Amino acid sequence: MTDADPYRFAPTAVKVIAVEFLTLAALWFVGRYFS
Amino acid sequence: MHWIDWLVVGVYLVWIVWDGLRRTKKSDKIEGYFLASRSLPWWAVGLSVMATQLSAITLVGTTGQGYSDGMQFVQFYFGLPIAMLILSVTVVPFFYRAGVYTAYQYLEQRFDAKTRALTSALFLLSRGLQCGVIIAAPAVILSIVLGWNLTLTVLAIGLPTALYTMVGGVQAVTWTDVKQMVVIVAGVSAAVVVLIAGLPEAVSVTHALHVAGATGRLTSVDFTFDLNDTYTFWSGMIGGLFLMLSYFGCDQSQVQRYLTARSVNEGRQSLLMSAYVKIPLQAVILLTGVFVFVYYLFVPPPMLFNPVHDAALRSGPYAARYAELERSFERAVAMRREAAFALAATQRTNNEEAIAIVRQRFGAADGRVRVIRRHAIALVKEATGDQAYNDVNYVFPTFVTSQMPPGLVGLLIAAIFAAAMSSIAAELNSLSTATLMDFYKRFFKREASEAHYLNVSWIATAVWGVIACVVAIFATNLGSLIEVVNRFGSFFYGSLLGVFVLAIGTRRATGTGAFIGLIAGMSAVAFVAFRYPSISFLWHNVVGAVVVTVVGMALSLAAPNRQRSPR
Repeated sequence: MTDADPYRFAPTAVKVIAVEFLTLAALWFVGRYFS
Repeated sequence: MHWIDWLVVGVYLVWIVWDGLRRTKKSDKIEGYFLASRSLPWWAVGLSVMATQLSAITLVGTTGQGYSDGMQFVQFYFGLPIAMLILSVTVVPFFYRAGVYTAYQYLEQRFDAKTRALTSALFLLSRGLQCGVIIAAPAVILSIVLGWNLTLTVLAIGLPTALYTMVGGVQAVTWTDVKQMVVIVAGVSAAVVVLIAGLPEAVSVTHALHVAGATGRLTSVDFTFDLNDTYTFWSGMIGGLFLMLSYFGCDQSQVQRYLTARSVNEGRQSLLMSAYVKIPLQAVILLTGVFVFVYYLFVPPPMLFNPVHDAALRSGPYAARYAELERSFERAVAMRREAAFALAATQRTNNEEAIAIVRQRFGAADGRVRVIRRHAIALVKEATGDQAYNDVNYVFPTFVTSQMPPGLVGLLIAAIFAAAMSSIAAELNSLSTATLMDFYKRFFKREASEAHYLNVSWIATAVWGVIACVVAIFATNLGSLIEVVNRFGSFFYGSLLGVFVLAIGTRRATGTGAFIGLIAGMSAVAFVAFRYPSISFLWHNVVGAVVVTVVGMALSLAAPNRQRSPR
């Protein structure tokens, strides 16, 4: 990843969004499972 | 407090102040003092970013919210990862390449001096006051729970922080932040261990979670769309996104963290650390509060967690009503305890029908306890006239001081100190930077030696430290502490974000358009806040940012600069 190449930032974006999605899914699941 | 706890708190304070004071290397020049000569590794900057955001208000208030309402507060942070992603491709490279010391300095490069001065002045005003609130909040709580003198507690938090920030500059702030994060995480982990170890033998962690879940405290995602509700998925995702964009992108106390990174990419990585870690960390802190709730199912809790109000109501004219409430409370707690044991035992049978019946009984018992506590809090408000009183802020400190073993009490008090000091240090450092760079050097003394500017920076840090302590001493009646701080910021944050959107996102925006747009945005937020008080403050950020962008752009197109502004 370099400053001059914004396209190489895309994998980071995918990773951040994927981690957030999994985190929220885990929180939602914990709420559902234990309630 | 046990002497071991005093020792732990004392060792913590000496260690942090010593560590801060020795960070004077490269701090003899302005770039070293304010930006560490852009030499810090991403992980240290990332921890500093997190430590700055995680104040004592967050630590104490969030655990209290976990106890009272469960995990729903975590939704406040749902917009944070996306905000970090957006900032790391927009403002981080812009600020870094512009070679600025403050975010507002960039606005002069892009627009004009008046826009820089107004935004920086708004920052100084809001952050200067908030710094006082950030000291006052834990000081009020610790002084009440531990019986300490309030003024001395404020000074014990504020003065050491001002001292090492003044001497060591941003390097002291960053490296002490790293250690303070370690103390905070160690403290929270110790509390979790004590809470789990304190469960009755018949109740496992899984049973405890089922019991907490039966009261709805583990439900952390609410998809309801309601502008009046702060803690929903949509408020967090949209309102929270705008708040986090403003806080991390336009607030000097955070911008200065990543300007110290070695390179643009390390600055980006420092922000992305929060994108990955912040929500899980907040969830763990809230879960700690939920475990405090479970702990107090089996150990009788106090009806009020604020011991001063508790003592006052016991002996004053409200004593008879309070005693009656307390008798009802004890009966309700005993019934809830019995129902909680029954629920944990029934969970082992896997008999769905029996579980449903016992869950209903437990839910009803918990509801009775909540109602009686609400009556007790109403009685406090009636007796003291303090309509903003919120008992949840006293839950965690009272648990720590009354239930944790000697040594760990000291560790948790040190963690509360660490959370407060890490935020205050970053704020004092950034207040000093903005004072020097955006006003003193810009308007009063453009040419002077490094030594002169360094002296002014030391004086500015000390003066802001004294102002913060004075504000803290006079700041009383804080209500729900988290909301006070966030609500205050929301009056400015969204509008500041709008100015940066115009600066970075458009070529045609003019300085006058941005300046008038900023005033229009803040006026719009004030109108919405006072005309529609029920709308959650998170949406104020959206209103401010949108109004500034639209008004600023419209004015810029109506009266463009003859020469296009450089990008």
